[in-house]
Amino acid sequence: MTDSHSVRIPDLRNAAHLARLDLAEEEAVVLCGEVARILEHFAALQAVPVAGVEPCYTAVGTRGLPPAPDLREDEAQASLPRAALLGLAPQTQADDEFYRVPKAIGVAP
Amino acid sequence: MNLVRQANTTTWLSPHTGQVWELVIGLEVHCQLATRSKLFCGCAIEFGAAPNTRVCAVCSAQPGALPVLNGEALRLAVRAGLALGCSIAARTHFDRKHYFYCDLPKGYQISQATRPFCTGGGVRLRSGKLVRLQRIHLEEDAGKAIHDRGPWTLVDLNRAGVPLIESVTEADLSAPEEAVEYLTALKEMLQHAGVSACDMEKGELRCDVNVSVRKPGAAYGTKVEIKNLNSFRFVAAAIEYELQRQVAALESGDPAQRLVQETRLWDTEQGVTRSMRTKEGAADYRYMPEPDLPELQLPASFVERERSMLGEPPAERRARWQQQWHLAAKDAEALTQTRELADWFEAAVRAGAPPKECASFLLNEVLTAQPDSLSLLLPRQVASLVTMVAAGEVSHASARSVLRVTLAEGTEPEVVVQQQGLRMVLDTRQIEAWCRQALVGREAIIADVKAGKAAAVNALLGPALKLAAGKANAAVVRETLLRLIAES
Amino acid sequence: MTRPTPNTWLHLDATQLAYEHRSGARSVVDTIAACCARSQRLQPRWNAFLALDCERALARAHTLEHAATRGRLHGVPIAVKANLAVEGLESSCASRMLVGWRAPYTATAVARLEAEGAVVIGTTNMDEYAMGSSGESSAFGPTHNPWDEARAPGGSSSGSAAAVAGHLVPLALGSDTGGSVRQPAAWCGLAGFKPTWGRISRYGLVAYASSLDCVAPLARSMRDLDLALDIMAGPDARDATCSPTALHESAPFKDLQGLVLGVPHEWRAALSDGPSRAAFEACVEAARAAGARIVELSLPLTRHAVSCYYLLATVEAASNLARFDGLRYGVRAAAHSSSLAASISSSRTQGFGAEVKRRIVLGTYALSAGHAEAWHTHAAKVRTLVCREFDEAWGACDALLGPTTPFPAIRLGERSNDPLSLYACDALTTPVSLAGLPAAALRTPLVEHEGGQLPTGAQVVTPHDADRLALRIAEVLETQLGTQALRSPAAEVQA
Repeated sequence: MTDSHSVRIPDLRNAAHLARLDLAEEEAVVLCGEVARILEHFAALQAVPVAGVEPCYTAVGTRGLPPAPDLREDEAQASLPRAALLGLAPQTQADDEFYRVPKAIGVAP
Repeated sequence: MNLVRQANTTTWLSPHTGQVWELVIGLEVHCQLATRSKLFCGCAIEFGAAPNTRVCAVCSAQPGALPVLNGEALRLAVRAGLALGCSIAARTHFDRKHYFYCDLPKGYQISQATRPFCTGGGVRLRSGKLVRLQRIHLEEDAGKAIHDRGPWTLVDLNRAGVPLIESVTEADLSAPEEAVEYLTALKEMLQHAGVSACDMEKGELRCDVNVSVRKPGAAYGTKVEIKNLNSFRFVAAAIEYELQRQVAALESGDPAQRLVQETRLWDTEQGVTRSMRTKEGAADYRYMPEPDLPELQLPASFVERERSMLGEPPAERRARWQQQWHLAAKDAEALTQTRELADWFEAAVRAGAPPKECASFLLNEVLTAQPDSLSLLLPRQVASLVTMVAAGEVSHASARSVLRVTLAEGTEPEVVVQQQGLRMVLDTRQIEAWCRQALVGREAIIADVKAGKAAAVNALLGPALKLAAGKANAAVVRETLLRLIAES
Repeated sequence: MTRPTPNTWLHLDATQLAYEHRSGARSVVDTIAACCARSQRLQPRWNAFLALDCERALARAHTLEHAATRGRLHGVPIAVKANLAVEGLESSCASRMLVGWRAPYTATAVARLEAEGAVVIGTTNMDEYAMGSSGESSAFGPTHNPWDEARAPGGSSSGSAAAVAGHLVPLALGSDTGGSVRQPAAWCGLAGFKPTWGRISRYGLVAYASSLDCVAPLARSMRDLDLALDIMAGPDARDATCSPTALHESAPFKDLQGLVLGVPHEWRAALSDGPSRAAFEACVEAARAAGARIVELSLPLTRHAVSCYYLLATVEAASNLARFDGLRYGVRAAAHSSSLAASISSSRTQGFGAEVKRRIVLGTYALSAGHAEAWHTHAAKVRTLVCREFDEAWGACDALLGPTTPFPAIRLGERSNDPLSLYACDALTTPVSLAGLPAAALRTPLVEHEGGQLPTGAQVVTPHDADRLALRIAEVLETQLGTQALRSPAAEVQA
């Protein structure tokens, strides 16, 4: 198994790329260095024994599931007026039909 | 390179090398659920609505907006799982699938990764082969991006957030026609369960195909995903194309043609698949549980309610009709085109209509009369009409005109028959009287018939029926004429 | 009740102010006008606001003046953190990415306050996207602490804290994810409250870390916090995590007889300097004097809380901030390249500040293939253990009592070059956040610090849904300590 808490700069740069952050070389070096230092500090967390423990992703935790709200009824509600939405978008006019975005090359992942 | 399909098998022979090849196919089908509103917000779903008029803070991913699950979408999804024989999970949750694209407003899709709401199940093909399902999960659809209209890419978010179920098969399919049979059966089951209209022209059913080739008994080959297939015909064609392409590449031994695991698009016009310029490596979707939606519990009572809404699977229905009612396979197929039609037909039979005649009448007369016939008639009305025809009380021609009147005015068929005096005469003595009259002055024909030319009697049918004003059954008249001639 | 005089609206809490507006003893329009004028004039000094809309506020004040229905916050001016949606107001989250975004809807929590007559006068400064503990990560300059303008007010709800501490408004909304309201409450001498997670709707709160974010109020009295909680809490059809479970009722009490307060020794030990320790001990003494039994207990996982919190929070933050791509709202980078992918990258790279970028990289890395198991999943398992630790603590006490921050307000610039040292400010607030527990931040005595007097704070933590109990205990403690009447020097600063 990989040595899980050794942090490699190329992996951090890859993470920046995955997050669509296009850092200039200098900035990348500084930022990734800082993040690496932070992670090294956080690596102490690895010492906490967690065998047999389920992960908790919400603050519900060990309280058990709260009663879930009733599921939403399938009724059509009013949408926002198109002008209100498109008016918020850059390079798009409120009276446009579509959002205008720079041309995509290739198709969605 | 033209591979030859070996008879009665799912293998192909390469004439080039003498090598036999197999196809390994898996299908991922996205099906839009028949809800009124989107999966996580109340925006209406409306095919053809003006762009960006069915969008809200939630589905445009405004900062601070949150998803709320549509209960009906969950119910329909469970129903779909039951229709396909799956096991429904007791607990399930949503996950975020991250990638950046202009038609994915949040930068992630809310889908299900680790704990889909159902697993297992499958579809049995006519050959007996079971195509197993790996899983079915719920997810939201993306919006639509238009690239070929001017210098910008245009984005319409009407579709963003529409509820989908994605069903993934194991790699159990081995031939293009098997894929089509699977898809046809899947579509039919989902329609009949009321889960989706599965209208491919509206994009309600979309299919991606995973295909690879291998030598019999060998390990799996490199898998290719094909997208953008919007008809079953193209699914078959794309598989055929890939078979040829992949085998040619492998047999050539040419390193430039080495197969890579990739996504390819089906080009409808050229009839080929094309490689998408892939980025480095497989996408890292960084799945994580969706913190904005609580874990779902699906108690047995919830699941059983959906089971009760399912109705009989169409294939079983057809089998039963053929066995119990002796319907022709063709008619059974036609009557199970939709759940609505199948239910309607059964209701008519339960109201007393003789099944075979009812099937024929429905298919040939009722459905051809006008597009919305079924919504203007009641099953018992058709049952009444068909029963009368079967009993010989009304001629087929009369029934057609009665139908038209009932459709137009809503009058009960029996009343129309009464009002228009369409009832057939069944009195044999009356029929005899008409026949005797028709025979008057027809010695020549009588002589011909007596001489052995039975067909000569057909010339007398017209006159005899005219005397009967159409209210005598033609076959009975003919029989009567022949009998009278014989007795004379 | 004191008789109202024109200039003392500044010193009234929201409850009193609303009362006087309702009875007609004070004019809503006068109050709002004075509040807006003061806020505008002191804005350059403390930089508390990012957007002030006095026209809108005054129009609303006029409507309220003659309204037949008079709610529990009738005519009370409030400030709202710039990560809360208020229809028509700019909520930029203190980010260049979101400059100019005016929400097309209003956050549920804000709407509920407005429905009771509150008047939102503007949105307040904060650490960008709520990521910070000092207010120094704002793209629009830091907020200054009204107690000592060379110091930070705390973060990330820096502007809301300064607005209340500076007597610009009596009540403000912030958000508390890892301590972002409790910590500024301590550094600004305020009462602050973090509710049980999932009891106040998050609809309209720009998400930072969804499973940790709470809308949280700041005020100068516990009863104001109680009122705000009462108004805001409750199920919301627009937030699926906002549970229909009601908060436990709790009548006010005069003392703490019969209550057991646990003091985790790890929390006590986190206090770094003598005066802070003395202030906290005074608080513990006050609890005893009020009749509570004090027990010492141990929460060993406290020392891992910051790491655990930051790993989980940054993973969720990276995810929640994926929607900021410059396509549908916010700022799109000037096109030097015309491709979609390049545009998204440029917009994000230019729009986000350094701290945000650091956390996005960290959070993306901790969730990426090959690393998620070791970092994210592991941290989530530690979170379960943290929750269990608190569950066990409730077997020994009714509530926990501890300091809110290891040290009082830092000087601006003191730690801004060292992210880890800023994260350390959250050592005492993050354990509570991880478990989703409610906490009332109360004022403890002022301390001598680096030549001046600075406020300190303590927090009362209770089990889930015992929010009101936390507030009751905090109220008694403040009365016992005499800190409920604490006023910053800014109260005397004339605009």
